[in-house]
Amino acid sequence: MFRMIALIAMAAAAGSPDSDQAQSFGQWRTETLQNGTVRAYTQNHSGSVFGISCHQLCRYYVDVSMRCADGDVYNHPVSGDGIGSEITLECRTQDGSQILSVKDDSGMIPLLKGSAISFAFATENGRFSFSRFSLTGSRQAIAWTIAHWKQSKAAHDAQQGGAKPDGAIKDIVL
Amino acid sequence: MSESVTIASAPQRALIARDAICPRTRTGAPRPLIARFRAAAGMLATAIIALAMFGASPAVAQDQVPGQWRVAKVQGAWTAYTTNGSGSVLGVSCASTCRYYMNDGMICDVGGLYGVMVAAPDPRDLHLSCEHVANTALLFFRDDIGWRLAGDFIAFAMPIGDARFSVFRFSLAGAKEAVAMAAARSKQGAASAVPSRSGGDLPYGKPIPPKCNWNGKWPVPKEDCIVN
Repeated sequence: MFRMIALIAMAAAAGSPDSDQAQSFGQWRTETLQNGTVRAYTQNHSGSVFGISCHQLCRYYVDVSMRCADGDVYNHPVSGDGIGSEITLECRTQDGSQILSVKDDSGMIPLLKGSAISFAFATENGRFSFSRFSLTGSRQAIAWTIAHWKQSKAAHDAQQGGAKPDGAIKDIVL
Repeated sequence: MSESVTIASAPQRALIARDAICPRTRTGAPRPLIARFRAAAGMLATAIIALAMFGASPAVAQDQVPGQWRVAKVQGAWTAYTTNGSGSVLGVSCASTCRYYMNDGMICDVGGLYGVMVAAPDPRDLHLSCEHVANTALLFFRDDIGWRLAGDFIAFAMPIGDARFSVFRFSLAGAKEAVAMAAARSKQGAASAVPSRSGGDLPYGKPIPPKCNWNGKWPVPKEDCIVN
């Protein structure tokens, strides 16, 4: 009986955040998953999520519950405070759900300096849907996430016998 | 292949935006019946006045094609165009080649590159470059959107900063016929019967707003002029 309860608890904890590491910064929240992923995100009132997820590397992502094919790439207009831009999103499966991962961070950085960011998505009936997210607290949350991820990764690499960092890992300028 | 697109001077564009900022604004509650009657009466009166003024003019009479699109000759280029309820224009200008353009009434920086998302079919990001033609700020599509002129309407979403988008919706009723007519007449050259247009409606859309004077109220309301 105890073994069964322990197994259920382990299964539940596998993809869940470590509550000790969860923090809030304004409208943003940070958390560390059991698999080592560190992320910062915000959720709007429609349930859509925008954030950054750091595992092997850090990537911004949007989760608007849009069905997409894994690996598909889309160009999307994005609107920030006083600026608009175009970013490339890649459909990826993460933790069992499909998300749109930003392929090139450089296009995101100017957009993150304002108080809100919006993504446009075309719907099948020829109309558009817009997902708007608050950026209040995003700078602190993202900075915390990246710093924490770097610490975790350094500790992990040390445990692995001083493995060299992955060449794809890069800093994100905020 | 992704190309970096800068939305040049977005606040300036937003300053004189007339189209709806978001779909919710555009698709508000249905108007009361009395308001619809008033609007219909207003349009009828406008149509009667327009007929009285221009009814005999071949420039107006001959450039109309069935549907919401029209054909006109502007500065040597045959142009097929449509104007939506917000005054934004979608058209194609045919000289040696045909180029699609849009004018949303907002200023744009000459040579600036803008991004816009087009809805179905095949939703994707399109690029437009800004040119000032005949005192209008036109955004020319860098892609051929001719094959998209099917169905009832075409819609675009453009980021305008402030985490907002402008949405532009144009009727495609008569679009194919009008575009074909403009292309055909541009090939015929001077043999066409329709004279060049001057005045009347604006195939290139709203002109570039004048700069504001010291108090921002003359010669046009503050929201319609450019503050430098």
